[in-house]
Amino acid sequence: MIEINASKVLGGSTISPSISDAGTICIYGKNGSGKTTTLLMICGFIMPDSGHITINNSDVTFLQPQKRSAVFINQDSYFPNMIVDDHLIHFTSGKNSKVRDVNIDEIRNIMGINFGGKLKYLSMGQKIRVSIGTALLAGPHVIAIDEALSNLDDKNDVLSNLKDYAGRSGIDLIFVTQDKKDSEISDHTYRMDKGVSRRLF
Amino acid sequence: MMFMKRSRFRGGTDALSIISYVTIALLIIPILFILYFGFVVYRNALGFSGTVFESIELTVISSAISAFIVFAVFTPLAFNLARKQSNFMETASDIPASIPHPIVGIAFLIIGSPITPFGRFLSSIGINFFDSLQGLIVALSFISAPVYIRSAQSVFSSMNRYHEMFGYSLGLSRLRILYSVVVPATIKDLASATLTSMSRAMSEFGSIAILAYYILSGPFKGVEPASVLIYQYYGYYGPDVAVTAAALMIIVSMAILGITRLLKSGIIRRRQ
Repeated sequence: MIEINASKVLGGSTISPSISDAGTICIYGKNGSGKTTTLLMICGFIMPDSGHITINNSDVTFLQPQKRSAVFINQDSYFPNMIVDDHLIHFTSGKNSKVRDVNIDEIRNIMGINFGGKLKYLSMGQKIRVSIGTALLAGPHVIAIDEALSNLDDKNDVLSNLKDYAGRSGIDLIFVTQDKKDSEISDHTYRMDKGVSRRLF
Repeated sequence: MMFMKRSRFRGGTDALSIISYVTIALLIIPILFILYFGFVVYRNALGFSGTVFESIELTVISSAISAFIVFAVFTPLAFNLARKQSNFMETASDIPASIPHPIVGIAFLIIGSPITPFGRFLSSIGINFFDSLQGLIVALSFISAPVYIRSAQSVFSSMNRYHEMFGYSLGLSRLRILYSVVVPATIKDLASATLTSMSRAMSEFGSIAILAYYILSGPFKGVEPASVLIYQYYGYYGPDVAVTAAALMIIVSMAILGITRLLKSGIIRRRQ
């Protein structure tokens, strides 16, 4: 469950999202409407000037990003010098190696990770698959995806599998997009305009 | 891509270029004079003696060790300075570069002497700064640290922050991000910064002339650092021997700078 009711003044404009939902949440809107700022506030990289943010009913408004259990993903969210396997395993929360291996195989299938090598040499789409796979294996409460899905050629399939896995694992998924069609797969959709969010369904 | 590189605006030869060439000449001409006088005009045999080569060897090895120590010790500080504004830490990290270096030598002399409790403690565990390789390395590390910190800080500042943000949101500490993400991604730039600090250490005179004029024990027993030896030769024999030894030292320093430059240009090419 993600709840944000906060306000932040950035570059003269006020971003004041108001979101309260669980499951797969889509935020769509134009450039500069405040979508990314909303995600950064949820993940703790931008402190709101006022208001509050809760994740699974815990107030995280003033918590450091490391302690929020909310992973932020955009097209640069990867560790360039790691190889794919290390990247996936490095942050996994599964202590039991058998459970971990089963999870990794499933994540590889969901995200279409059938390649290897250092992240910095992979294509943009491949990097994003690994980033999201890493986040899923880390088992956070929230995964916040900042327009990264648009780099995937099989976006709808990935999003559908991702939603299914996140739902089973109790992970809330919040992603931002400029494409209204992406919202069709989400449980809840918000439209962001000039820093203000409006719940569509 | 090739077309873009060829057509990149380079400004041509204008007044700014001419000023740049003149000012570069101001920096290079004294070096060329030393090389010319050392290898052609004076060319004194004493300048090529085993003593000079031992002295250069001591300087290169102690500078390399101090550069490695500076890399190992000051990388976290450089990362912290690149991420968090701290006037106090910024100023403190510049202190070694802004005080006269003989004072640094005197400071370490006092710190390591038995008149201070810390000096007595160091003596009790066998560490002695005065006229020792340990003292030489400590002084070189101290004076070359600001050069490394500034270079590494600029490397970290130019890095893509989203890699780190991903790590933070996965729950990693800043220190773990530094060593598992940032350092591996910038290792060549940091190696270049380390070599730059090594070059600075090789050129040091003021502090080591007080703290480690000779090395009185260990593998370099009886050897003086190159800058001290050149100064000593200048006093004993006049300019001819000193200039010849200085020319040799310049060649070694140029080689280190050349490697640094190659590393940097490789990094720049990779980024383009």
